Amino acid sequence: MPTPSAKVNPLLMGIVISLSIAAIVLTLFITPDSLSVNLVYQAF
Amino acid sequence: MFPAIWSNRHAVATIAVIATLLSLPVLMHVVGLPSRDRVYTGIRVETGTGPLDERTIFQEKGPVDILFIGSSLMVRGVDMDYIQQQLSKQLGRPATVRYLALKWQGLDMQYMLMNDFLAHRQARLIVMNMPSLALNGDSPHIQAYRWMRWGEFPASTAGLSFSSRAAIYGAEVLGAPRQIVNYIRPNERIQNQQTVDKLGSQYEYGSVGYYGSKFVPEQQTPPAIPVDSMIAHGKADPNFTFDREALGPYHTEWARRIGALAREKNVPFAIIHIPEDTEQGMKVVPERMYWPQVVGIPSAPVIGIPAATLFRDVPEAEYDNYFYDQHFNDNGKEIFTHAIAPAILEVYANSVR
Repeated sequence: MPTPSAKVNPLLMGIVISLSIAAIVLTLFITPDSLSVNLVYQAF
Repeated sequence: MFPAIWSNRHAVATIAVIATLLSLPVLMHVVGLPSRDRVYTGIRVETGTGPLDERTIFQEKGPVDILFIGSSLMVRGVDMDYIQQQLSKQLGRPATVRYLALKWQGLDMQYMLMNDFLAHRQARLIVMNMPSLALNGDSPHIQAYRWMRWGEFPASTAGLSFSSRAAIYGAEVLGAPRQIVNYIRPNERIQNQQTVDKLGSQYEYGSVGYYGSKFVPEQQTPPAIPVDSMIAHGKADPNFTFDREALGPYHTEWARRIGALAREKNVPFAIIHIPEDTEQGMKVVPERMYWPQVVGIPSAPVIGIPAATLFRDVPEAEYDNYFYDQHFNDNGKEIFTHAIAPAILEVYANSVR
């Protein structure tokens, strides 16, 4: 029996994956220093 | 296994959510950003002097004689009340001395403070402390996501590399939801001005010993130092070095923009060095670069005192009593401010002449 994700349009799946990668890459540009310091100081 | 995406409708909804979050900084700019003062109200008070910056920039009126801009090193390094008192004596009228700062170092942050201030008020002299070696890396200020909003400072970011702009955009994406909250439900300003002053001066570190040790009050009289020796005479001045690790291209670009802004607004500009704990015994003022050249204002004075000179009457074992970590506690703040004040007053007198 095919899994439900097999019913999703491949183009839409491609966009979801691309956007997810873009979000991860953008997060990498924010320095680990910044994230850790802000977590320590609860600055968020 | 349960699939992450189970239908076309779910895929479209996921795309919409991620795309909205990623483009939120741009969308907010298109819709209209809240006023700049909301940015300062949105900075958590625990992380710096946001409320005091907001009051100094947006609430107070009138010109300022000396405006100090920098990081926590400057806040903990200079007793502004003393400088204001001494300048008032020199001028024969009440002088106004103010400072703007956030915790952590970054010339992008210092540009933002300077730009916001000069958009609302005038300064007769701006004095900045430039990044020390404590500034690691070459990325946006740790709190950048709080005050960088897409579409602001366009002329200043134009010279940045693609990776720097991506870093800024990353910070803006991170901060955009908070900016929306600032817009919909802004924080109230702190009404108690004493609290604002206390937060702004980071008073909680005043009576703290070195890295948590017992605080030992010092009554050391500051040494009398010739004013001329506290102001650098060019790159080769024997009391200064300007050859430590250079800033990376990101912060160097903001240094240039700071200089350009000072020239555009016709504001005299000076640099001050705040000593750190690691400078014990140093016979020169250690700066990373020759700042007048970097900011593009060759006449900008650099003021500083070598730690060996400032602490020449302090026994070696008592040196740490003047710091709580890399920053001065009240012992250090007082001895440094009293010693450096004549140089600051001299630079002011020369600037407004």
